[in-house]
Amino acid sequence: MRNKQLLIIALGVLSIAAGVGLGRFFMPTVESSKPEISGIYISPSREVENFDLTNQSGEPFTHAALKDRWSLLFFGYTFCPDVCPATLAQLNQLHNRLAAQGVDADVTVWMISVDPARDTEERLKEYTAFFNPKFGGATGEREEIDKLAKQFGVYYKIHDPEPGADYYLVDHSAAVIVINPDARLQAVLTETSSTDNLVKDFLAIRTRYDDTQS
Amino acid sequence: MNHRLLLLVILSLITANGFAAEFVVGNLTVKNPWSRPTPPVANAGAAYFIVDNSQGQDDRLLSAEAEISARVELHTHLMDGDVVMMRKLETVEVPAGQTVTFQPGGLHIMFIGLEGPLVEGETFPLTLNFEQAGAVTVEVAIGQQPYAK
Repeated sequence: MRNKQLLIIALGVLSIAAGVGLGRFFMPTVESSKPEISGIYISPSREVENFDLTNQSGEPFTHAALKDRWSLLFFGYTFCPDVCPATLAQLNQLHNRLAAQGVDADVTVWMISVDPARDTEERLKEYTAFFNPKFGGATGEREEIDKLAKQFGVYYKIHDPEPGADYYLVDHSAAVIVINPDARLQAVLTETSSTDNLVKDFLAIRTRYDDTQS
Repeated sequence: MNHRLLLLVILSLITANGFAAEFVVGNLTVKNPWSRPTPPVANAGAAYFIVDNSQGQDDRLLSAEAEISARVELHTHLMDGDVVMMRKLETVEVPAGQTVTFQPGGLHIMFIGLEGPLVEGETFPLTLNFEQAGAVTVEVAIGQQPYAK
């Protein structure tokens, strides 16, 4: 009981620290007033430095793949039993809803695997296609994954297997990264469990972007 | 075998009609066990349910067993900001007078080394071993979450 209370307190402190951390990371550019989203809207949008990964078809996945379209990036791994399938299922719902409104053609969802040791291109292809055949997957050298993840404040950690275990666990940020058609970081969505929210947030971000273009 | 088949048919009818699937063991009721369908390449899956202990004494889930994977473990997620940390649990407390909900992003039964994909519309048996109430085998419906998030 005592331990449980301590754990709860420790978790509370950690959450606050993490919240402050994420806020600090984006602090100079945070605009809290509009558009209102569950996450962090970044204004002005932030340049994405080049990176060199490989997509699910074995082709290069670089900065160029982000241009002239909206990209939604999620960092995960196919061994993930819960949060990754849940998030990809939500992103599929989002994609379907956008399709119903005819605004899906320039929106691409990517799962970036932080677990290249287990996630081959073929695995990624089958895994992402299960959720939506239009979804892409990419992974590559650890250094290149880190280069991308760090720019977005995305954290992950691969654990050593526990004694006697034949698998290892991965801690990872569950945020969805929104890249605008200028291939610049526009938002980080942190609440993805509600499809309605996701749709509303994405459309708000998109509308705001379109407004600034005209 | 026929009984098993009949049970499956009844269960799938119940699930299809949106009625709660409930499994009673001692003073505990396990409600709406479900699993998300998995991609063919996935080697891990998860099951969720609600344990209602409103009538009972303090209890605890000790372990789970299923034929669908090489290993079955109790897991939870801890959140650190937006970072998800999955951790193995030895047991899950089910205090008297409380309802414990297993759900995505939180408590779950984890299947490691799946024998095959979990296919939408199918079910599979899962045995839950409780310290006080004993063992109960529930049929897990593969599909979407049947209770509120």
